[in-house]
Amino acid sequence: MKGTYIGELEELVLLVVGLLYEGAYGVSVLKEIKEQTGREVNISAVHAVMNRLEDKGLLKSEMGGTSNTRGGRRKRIYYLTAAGKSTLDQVREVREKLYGQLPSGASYSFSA
Amino acid sequence: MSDPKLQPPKWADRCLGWYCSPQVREQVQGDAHELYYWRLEDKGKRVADRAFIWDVVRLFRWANIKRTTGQNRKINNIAMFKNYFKIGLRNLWKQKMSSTINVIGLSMAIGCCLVAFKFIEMNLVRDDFHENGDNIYLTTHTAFLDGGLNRYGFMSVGISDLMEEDYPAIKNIVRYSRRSVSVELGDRTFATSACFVDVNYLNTFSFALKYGEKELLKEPRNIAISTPTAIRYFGDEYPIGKTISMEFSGEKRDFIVAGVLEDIPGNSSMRPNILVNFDLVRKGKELESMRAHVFVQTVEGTDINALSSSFASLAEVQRGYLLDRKYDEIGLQPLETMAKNADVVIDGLGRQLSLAPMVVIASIGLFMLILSIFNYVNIAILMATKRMKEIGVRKVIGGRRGQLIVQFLTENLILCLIAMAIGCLLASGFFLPEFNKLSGNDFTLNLLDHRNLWLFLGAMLFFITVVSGAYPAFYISSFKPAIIFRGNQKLGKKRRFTGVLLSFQFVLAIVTIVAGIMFVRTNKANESRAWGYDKHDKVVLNIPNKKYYPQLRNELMQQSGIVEIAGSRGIVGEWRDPEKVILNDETITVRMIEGALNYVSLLDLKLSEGRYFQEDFKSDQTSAVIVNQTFIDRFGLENPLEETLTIKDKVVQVIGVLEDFHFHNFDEEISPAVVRVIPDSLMTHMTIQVQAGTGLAMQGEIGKTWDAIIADHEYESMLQSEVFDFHFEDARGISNVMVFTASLAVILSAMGLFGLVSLSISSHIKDFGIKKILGATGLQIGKEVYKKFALILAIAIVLGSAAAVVVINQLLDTAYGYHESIGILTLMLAAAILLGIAWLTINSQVTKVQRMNPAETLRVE
Repeated sequence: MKGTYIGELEELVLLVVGLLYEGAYGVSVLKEIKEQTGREVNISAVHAVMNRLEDKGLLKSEMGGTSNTRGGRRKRIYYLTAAGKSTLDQVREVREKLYGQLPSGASYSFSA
Repeated sequence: MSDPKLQPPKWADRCLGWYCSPQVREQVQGDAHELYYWRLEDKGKRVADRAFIWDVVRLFRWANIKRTTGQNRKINNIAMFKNYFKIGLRNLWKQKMSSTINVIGLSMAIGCCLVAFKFIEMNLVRDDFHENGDNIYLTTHTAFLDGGLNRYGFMSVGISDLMEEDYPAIKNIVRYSRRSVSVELGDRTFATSACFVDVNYLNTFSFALKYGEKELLKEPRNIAISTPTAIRYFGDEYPIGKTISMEFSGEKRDFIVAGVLEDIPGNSSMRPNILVNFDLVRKGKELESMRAHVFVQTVEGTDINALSSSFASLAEVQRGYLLDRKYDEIGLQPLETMAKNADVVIDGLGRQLSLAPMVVIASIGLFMLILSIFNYVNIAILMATKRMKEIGVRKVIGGRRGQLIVQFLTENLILCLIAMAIGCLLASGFFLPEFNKLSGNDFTLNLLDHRNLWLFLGAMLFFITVVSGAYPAFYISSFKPAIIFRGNQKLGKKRRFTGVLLSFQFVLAIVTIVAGIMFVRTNKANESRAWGYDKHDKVVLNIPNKKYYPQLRNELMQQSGIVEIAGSRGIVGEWRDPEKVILNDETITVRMIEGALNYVSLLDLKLSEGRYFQEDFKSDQTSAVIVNQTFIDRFGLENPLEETLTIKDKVVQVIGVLEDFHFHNFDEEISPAVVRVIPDSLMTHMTIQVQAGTGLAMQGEIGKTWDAIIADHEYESMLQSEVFDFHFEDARGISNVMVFTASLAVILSAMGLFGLVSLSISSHIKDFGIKKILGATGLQIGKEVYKKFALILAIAIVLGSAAAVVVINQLLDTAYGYHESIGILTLMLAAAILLGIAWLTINSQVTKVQRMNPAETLRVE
């Protein structure tokens, strides 16, 4: 079913949009990802992911305020939807369930 | 922020704005800018600029790009096109006069272009119908001969045998050798040529068979003949199984007709009459010095360069043969380029056609196309004045300029399609048959199975539509609605443009008229030109075998009505190859005229110096010549009677000088000629002087004597006065083409003029009405219309005459050896014809105005 599975970057963007709450738009999401994870993502990738998530119904958006550096152009503000939140919950649940099953006493080799 | 230096690169920003779809433009552009200023503070301008550009590139995504093909729009466009077509058809129907002019003009031009296309295609695309054509090559060799390293298109048969054995890349070898044979069929004999080919000839080349199978040559007694040959030999009878006896290389054999070829395509370089098994000529002969055209068919995917360089060892073998001809190299010439390279490959197959006729025919087609396209442009611009309101309303209710352009182009496309259909009909029904009659071709328009023709038609449709439609469409659609409704739209500027097009048309018309007049005049002059000798009352016989010559002459001498008989080799008036003789240690090229002692006096050639050959001088038989005046002039001889010539190592004395006479047709200038006496054993022709006025009657009488002596050959005779008839017929054909071109050009430009005059009158019809009411006479009204076009005509006549003198003189130079130069009278006649027709055209419209009731014109609204 569409929207049940999301990719890694999608998950990241979804989380960041959720934590930024009413201030999530392209540039702020990009900056937040960089600050929190150190990952440099291109703005076009951010747009593409947010458009996709909106298509899947996990985000919704509306045109919002502007700032001086934008030359008077408005931002598109994204919000997490209930479906988005429940998807995040599901992803987390699956991950924790699987993580908990890792054998505790195992040793891990470094070679590839 | 307002510092222009601290802004993203303008071009990149603009590019982003340009490709972004409007729905996302604000968001995307805003984000990109915000990022830019953030990076600017962080990392400096250079990094920020570069990152911005990179962003712009990355943002070029499907989701962001502006697209015009939304689903809603598509449906809308189809509806719009339906509307364009409907409106277009209605408009064409409404404007009957201009539509008719355009359709007639364009279809005639298209017809001419189709003829030109067929002619040029036949000359450029040769031998393209063979299925294996890509893998068939003519073998050639280079040799130091004839004064240089030349390439020859034939091969020693012995070498070709080696080729067949030693090269796995060669699938197949076909030898092809054309020889003259004599065919006997009951009591009829035909001197003709036969092509001796290998058994697999019909499998390798794609000549279709009407009757018989492709393996028929395996049986050496079998032959295949072409359809025209079958008709010539057997008429309507079924030819298969008939016996033919054929004589070649001194032997006579019987053959059975086992196959008949379908008509051979016009662009084929090989045109065999009779196909005979090659083994018959090679049996028992020395193959090393025997020549034939040798074709190789390679295995699919063979590297041709490698193959031909591997022939080096064969060339070496050949050089060991102790022949005069030593191969330097052996090469391959692809079948399809064989004819095009006929000037490089000596004695190959096929021939290259001269460029001049192609250029002339193509330019005739182009002239017509230009004339009719100009008609269209001119009329379309004037017609626009009647549609001003329509354009304005369309624009006001939201029609974009692009839509208007499409509307006009659609109308044009409909018109062109109609013209194209009529043009094809015209070409296949009238132009091509007439052209075939003139040129001896067999062109037909086969629409179903002819890819090149479709490509040509498609290209022409596109070309005509765009060239004729683009300017009017763009111009008309540029009008501003506000100005239109205020009634201020002026077409005045465009009047000059119309004038330029119109004068160009008239220039073309003048050039073609002059060409027509000059060709007709030159033909008339040439036909009545004195030939320089007495052509009357002479019957010429072609003697099939010199053994009959003495007996035939003796019998004929007894016959009543015959005055004198002289033998000759070839006859005066027919083509002879130039020969080389030596004059004062210099080799010169002359034409030989060889005949009996009395041949010169029989033709009544006039002496300007010296004497005729005389029977009492023994030396006249062998070592005396008479030369013509051109010879004296060309080589600057002061005392010609003291000169000697060396002909084939034999010194001969000049004993007389003849006034110039035409021993060739009038395409050629008179060249230096040498007349000498040859013995009876070399005679091929007999010229018989009969009593005055009895030429035709005596032709029959002589035939009876012929039949009594020469039973196995048909009687062949002609009158000396007919010797140029064939040529004159050709020349008349060409001048008919020129006259036809001229009439077409005049008709087309007259139609254009007619359209312009009637449109310009109808747009001023109220002016004329008011003037009439105020008392203007018919003359005054007429003057105004005439004045408009008088200047255009005057300019066109001056320019056209100048162009005609230059262009047509060159054309005449290539077509005729003798022609008059273009005189002032010819130019005046051409101008008079054009002026007369222009006057008639304008007048037909002016009279209408002069006769009309002014009240009607003022009551229109």
